[in-house]
Amino acid sequence: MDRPTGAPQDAAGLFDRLYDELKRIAHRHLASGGNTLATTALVHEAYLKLAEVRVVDEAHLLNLASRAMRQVLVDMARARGRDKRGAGLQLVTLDDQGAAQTPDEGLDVLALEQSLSRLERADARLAQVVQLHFFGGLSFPEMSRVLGVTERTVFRDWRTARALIHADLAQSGAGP
Amino acid sequence: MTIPVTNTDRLARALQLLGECLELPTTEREAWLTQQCGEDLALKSEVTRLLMADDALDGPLDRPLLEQVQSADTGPDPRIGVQVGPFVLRALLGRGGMGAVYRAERNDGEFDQSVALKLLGSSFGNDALALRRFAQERQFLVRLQHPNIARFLDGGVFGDAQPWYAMELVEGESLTHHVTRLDLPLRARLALFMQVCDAVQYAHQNLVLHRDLKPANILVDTNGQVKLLDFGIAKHLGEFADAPSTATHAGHRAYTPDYAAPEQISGGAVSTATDLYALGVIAFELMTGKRPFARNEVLRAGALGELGLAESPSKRLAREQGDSRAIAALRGDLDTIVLTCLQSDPARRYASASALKRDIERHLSGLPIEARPDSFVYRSSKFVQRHRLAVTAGVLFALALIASTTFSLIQAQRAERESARAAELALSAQRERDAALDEMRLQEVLREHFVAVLNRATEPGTAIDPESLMDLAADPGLLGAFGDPNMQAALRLTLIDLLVHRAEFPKALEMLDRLEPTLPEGPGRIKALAAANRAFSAIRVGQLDIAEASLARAEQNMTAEQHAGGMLVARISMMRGMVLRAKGDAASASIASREAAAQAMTATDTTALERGSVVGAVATAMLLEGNLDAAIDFAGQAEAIWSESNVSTNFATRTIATQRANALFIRGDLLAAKAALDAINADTTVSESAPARAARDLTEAKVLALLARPGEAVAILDPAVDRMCKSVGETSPDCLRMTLGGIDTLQLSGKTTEAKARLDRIRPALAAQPALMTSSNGFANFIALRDTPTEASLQTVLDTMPTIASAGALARRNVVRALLLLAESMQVSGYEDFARRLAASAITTAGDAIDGNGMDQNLLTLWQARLNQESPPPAALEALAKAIGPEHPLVLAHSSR
Repeated sequence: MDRPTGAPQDAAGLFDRLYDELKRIAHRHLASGGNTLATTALVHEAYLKLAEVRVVDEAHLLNLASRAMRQVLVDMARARGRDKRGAGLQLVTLDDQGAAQTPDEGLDVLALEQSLSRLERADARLAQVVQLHFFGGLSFPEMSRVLGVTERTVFRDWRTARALIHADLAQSGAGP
Repeated sequence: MTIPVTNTDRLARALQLLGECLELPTTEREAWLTQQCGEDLALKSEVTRLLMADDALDGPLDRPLLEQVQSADTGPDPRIGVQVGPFVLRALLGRGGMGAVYRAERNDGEFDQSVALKLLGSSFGNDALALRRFAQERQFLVRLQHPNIARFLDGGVFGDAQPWYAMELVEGESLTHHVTRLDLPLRARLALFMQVCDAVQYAHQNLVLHRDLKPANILVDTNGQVKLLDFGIAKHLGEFADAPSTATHAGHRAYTPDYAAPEQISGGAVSTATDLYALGVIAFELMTGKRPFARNEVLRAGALGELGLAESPSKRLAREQGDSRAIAALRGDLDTIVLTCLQSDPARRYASASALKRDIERHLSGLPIEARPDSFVYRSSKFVQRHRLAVTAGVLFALALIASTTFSLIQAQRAERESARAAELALSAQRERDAALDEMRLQEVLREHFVAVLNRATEPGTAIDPESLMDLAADPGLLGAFGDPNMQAALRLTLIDLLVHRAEFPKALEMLDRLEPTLPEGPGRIKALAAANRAFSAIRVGQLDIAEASLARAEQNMTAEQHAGGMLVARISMMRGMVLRAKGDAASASIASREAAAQAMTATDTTALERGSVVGAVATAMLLEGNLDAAIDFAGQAEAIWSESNVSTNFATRTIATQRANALFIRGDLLAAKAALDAINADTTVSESAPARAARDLTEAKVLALLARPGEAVAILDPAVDRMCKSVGETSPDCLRMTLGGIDTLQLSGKTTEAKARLDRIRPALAAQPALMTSSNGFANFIALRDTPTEASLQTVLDTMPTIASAGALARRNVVRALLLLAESMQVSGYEDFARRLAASAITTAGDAIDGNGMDQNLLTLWQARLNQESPPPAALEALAKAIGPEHPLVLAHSSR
């Protein structure tokens, strides 16, 4: 996967570190059953570690971290298998006993990645919103700050991107 | 994968159209799209496909990412078959945020038992936050023993650091699945829902918020019994939110959006009302099979804070072409009930799960439901009404107790205003969004707290008297749930104000003990106000040294704004005056009080209300000094300030009426004083506290004793003293003062033996109160003289009285009156020489300090004539008769001499 578009050259080392850090944390979390609270915490944890290292623009770092998170997952999915459905990562529900009775469907990380790449080519900002919100766990106000647009715009972008990805995933047979 | 639009440009165009289309009302989209796409039907169909995807409620992107991915180390869970505590793990039931839940069996041979066993993931062994959460969840379950909550059975630690606990294994299915599968009729669905309400109510009563109520967490077992599960993200109402900032971020997504209340999505404060919202969504879903909002609407609300009011269940069903009888069943009550839960303003939802359940019950029994659109307004106004009664009672107490200070008036006014403001804020929170941020936050916190108190106060069986409400409001467990430390401090200070004005000084001091050490170093608004409150409370419980130290602290910690504003400066002067008066330095006390009045008049950081209160307090100080004209002048000023500012006329009128009755009493216009007191007693429209009534009853007893109606005087005396002392505590200055007043009254009523016995009893307690000690010495001397009229006891009285008189104008009046009444008493007992010498002393002591035309003034004139061997002046006799009645023994005695 390419370096994030528009990232300054000196961000390259940063991205690598971030990627390693996230991969380490992600493995730890995933091995133990995931954590509902974790996506954002994870990115922030990695962010904090890096922020100690070098003074960088927070928005830029969050952007990088979300990108790294996305890549960690895709790489893990690829590494796990060729199976389209599940791709080695399967959904686990969180509802204790309740979940046992209502199993849900899994997330097809690779199908998602394919759709997201397609979106990236058509409209980079829409893809970035997905990356920040879904992979980075950023809230709408945070995204508004990072992207420098209003929350209303962020929300519209999110809704537009979400529709496309859900439509694509539905077609690939993995979605709702 | 087949993709209808392969060309990137075409996709970009479709996305652009989609974005614009989403901004349009649903009904206009089709026409707009047709126009935009023209001949390009493929483009239109692509956008239409995307619009449909937008409509779908739930997709992978709507769920937290990590919730959906799990390392699939395939093969059976290695822990199956492992022994955990007395249990053997048999099968994996599911995985949760922090661990896994297994079906496990007890195998100690004693009895067979299947349980659900939750085990914290091994990687969390060193994660303090995770360990704490797990322990908390377990603790919640232990605490929550309810038929509708999965029961806690056992717990322990597996291996080195993997805590686990076992709970009741629920053989059942989720609530929604259950009702759908059995296609249950509405009534049966509501019955199940009411069980959920019971469980939630029970949790709330135990100060546990669930925060993640949803059908998947609510199982129905094979007996049709509802079981609430998963307190994994539950929160204790009394604890601070997780401290680290990452937890705030993390907590932000720790809920299921479809069932989350707007304040949860926007990261606002959660309360019991948050769970009530989720109950509303569940009820909506049980009634219609749908959720009230599409997922994107919910997210939009989170992003923009714009969640509108939900469509009513019956309308939704109608829109979905539902069965017309089903629609009719929902219309009306059930619509109202659900929409009440779904209010975006937490304060407008049901006050409790039991209130919600009650309304459903009422609906099912054909009774009118209680929910109404303005239910919060209604509840607040009720609360404020009750509260105001309490406030007014406290105010009257302060006023009637003229022998004490009236400074609590200021406190009372402030408290009254603040509680009114909290309610007002609740009603107009939206409008005030742009107000100053700090103040706004405080008010929000106050409101949240207020709502929480209401939530708890409306529980069945909760007493709603002011004292219970205050206890509820001051409960540290409840207080801890609101705002940041700064807001907490402000909230506590408000409650302390309320306690102080309600004369609950020990409680106020206790809260101050907790509050003051938490305040940051250096001057600060709250710090200065806290010190001022401590000073006032200390004065009222008789700890003058602490009061002085606190006043100094209030002064030191005052902020520049407070100093410039002047109101706190005025309050401090006022309290200085009180301390000085209590220490017996009447002259300095008077200066301080007048200073306070001047400062209050020019203070800029106050309201007419508060200003009037201080001036009214100065009036009382003047009254205490015996400076009646000044007292009446200040009282008039206070009245003028209040009437300009629309202060409750009841309150102002009563204040002034009480002041006048006291002035009449001091002047010796006893019949008029009695009439004034009767008028006040006759007005039952303003409720008052026990101490207020007691203090006024004491004045009345004294008036009656002086009017030579000892039987009536004694009859109301003891109950009054009892009531006061019970209310403010046996050792408080107010109780001592009342007891002394009672002794004086007994002595005037001729019951010297009883008076002497009581005096001996309270003398030790008076040691710390110089001003009261002086009075008690005086009374002891009177009693000794009445008891055994010897030359020595007469000499003691004659020697000490003029010294006491020099303490101030009121003291002088009291001494003159005492000497005159002793003279009359000696005359009746046949000690004529003693009587003359006492009267002469009275005349000398009085000088020209006794004004007006009441009992004392005219007795002086009559004695003067007598000492001069003249016949009684008719004008003086007439005036005396007017003041105390023509049949009064004194009038008869002087007429016949």
